[in-house]
Amino acid sequence: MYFKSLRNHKKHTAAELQEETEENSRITYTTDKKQHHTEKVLSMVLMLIVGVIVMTMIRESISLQQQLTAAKQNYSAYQQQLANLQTENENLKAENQALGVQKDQLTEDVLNEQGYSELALSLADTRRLAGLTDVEGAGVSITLSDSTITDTSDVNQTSLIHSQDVQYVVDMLKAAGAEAIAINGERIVCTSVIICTGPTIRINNSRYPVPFVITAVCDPDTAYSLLQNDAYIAYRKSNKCEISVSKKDDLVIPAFSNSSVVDTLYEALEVVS
Amino acid sequence: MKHRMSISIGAIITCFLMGLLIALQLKNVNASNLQSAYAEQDLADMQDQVMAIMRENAELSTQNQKLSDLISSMGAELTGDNESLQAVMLEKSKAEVFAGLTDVSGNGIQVTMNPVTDSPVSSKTLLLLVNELRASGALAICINDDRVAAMTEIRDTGTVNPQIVINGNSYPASSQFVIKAIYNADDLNRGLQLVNSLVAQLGTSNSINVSSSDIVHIPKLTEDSLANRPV
Repeated sequence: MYFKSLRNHKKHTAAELQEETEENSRITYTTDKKQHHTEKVLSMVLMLIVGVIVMTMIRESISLQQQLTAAKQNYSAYQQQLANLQTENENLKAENQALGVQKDQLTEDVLNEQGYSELALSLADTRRLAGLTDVEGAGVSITLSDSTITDTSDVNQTSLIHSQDVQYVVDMLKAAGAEAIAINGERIVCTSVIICTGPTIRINNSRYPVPFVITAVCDPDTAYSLLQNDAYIAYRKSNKCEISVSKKDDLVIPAFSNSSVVDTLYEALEVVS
Repeated sequence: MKHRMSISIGAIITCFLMGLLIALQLKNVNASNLQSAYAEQDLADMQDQVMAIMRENAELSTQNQKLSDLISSMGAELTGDNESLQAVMLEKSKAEVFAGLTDVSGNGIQVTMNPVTDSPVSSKTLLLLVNELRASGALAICINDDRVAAMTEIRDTGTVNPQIVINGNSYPASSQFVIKAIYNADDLNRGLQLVNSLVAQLGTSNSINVSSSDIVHIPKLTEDSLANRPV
């Protein structure tokens, strides 16, 4: 009876143990399953976030590329338009000059025809003083250009030519007794201003980039000597600016051709007789 | 084993995506920089140039049309007299004003420089003021009633008794210099502001006074000045 009872107890204990083991493994399995499930969910969320970021960036990239292409096309269109306008400008200037010469010749013919030869001479003299005729003769040519050496430490841009440098040379040439001066073929007259406009310089309403070629009909020896020995020019050369001076035997300084400026001045000023 | 493999594959995919993200970001930054280069300064500068040259071309076209019309009328009236002669006289008057051969008046600015002891006026200061007046839209300028024309020189001379030469005429550097400029009514205030700003920047020891006036009289180039001009 005792043995039977003991056997039954053992059986019972073994069954309990097995049951406990099964219970434990079920719990472990459930915990593992839950952990795996959590990992999977987290991975999915992570992948989803990364996917959303990638998609956003791809969209942004496409949008930026489209904007860049549009900006490039816009820039190219302006470049093309500018080139066309510059060609048109050159043609119009040439036509303007030819018409001016034709008109002056015709004026002289009309005056001489009608016996006003003195008036013809006076008109020619006045036009010459005003800078409205070409001037030929000996003189000097000065070329001003930026330094070709790129210096990142040059924060004040001392190696670049500025409007003040061009103005300085023009003022010097006037002081040297120049009869006529032009910058890149643009005649200096009483209304001429030399103003810095970004990477270019505006002279008589036209913009010019470097190099600036200043030509002047004057005594070549005096002007050459003044320019070569000038302290400011020597200083600018020491800043690596490229400045060269040469004497010329046969310069032609073109006439100031913008007649609308002459008309505007005539209309704006009250002449006192 | 299977679990570790899936972790490795996940890590590889994540790294790949992260690499893609970095590459895209770099590309975007590069594109953004390029776009800003095209969009901002260069493009604005190009637009300015296009606008300026368009205006110049329009002006040139108008001028050429006027010249062509004038040539046609002069050719037709070569044997006539009055109209073509009037056109010539008008042209001469315009050239005279442009050359500075007429007295002119209008509203404008007067800049008076009074040198103090041991600090004479220098040509550099006069040139700065004249160039600023011109740049701000002055129509006619004179210094001490000596007309500043296209080729007027302003230079220092002498060291013991320094002088300033204008149109070949000498003025003691220790004397008062009066610069007058005539402006269009629209440009007068801008001219005043710019000149006042320049005077403030100069900070010279000379006393400089800037004032505006309704009537500024600027004389023509004198016979002496004309005689001094190189021909």
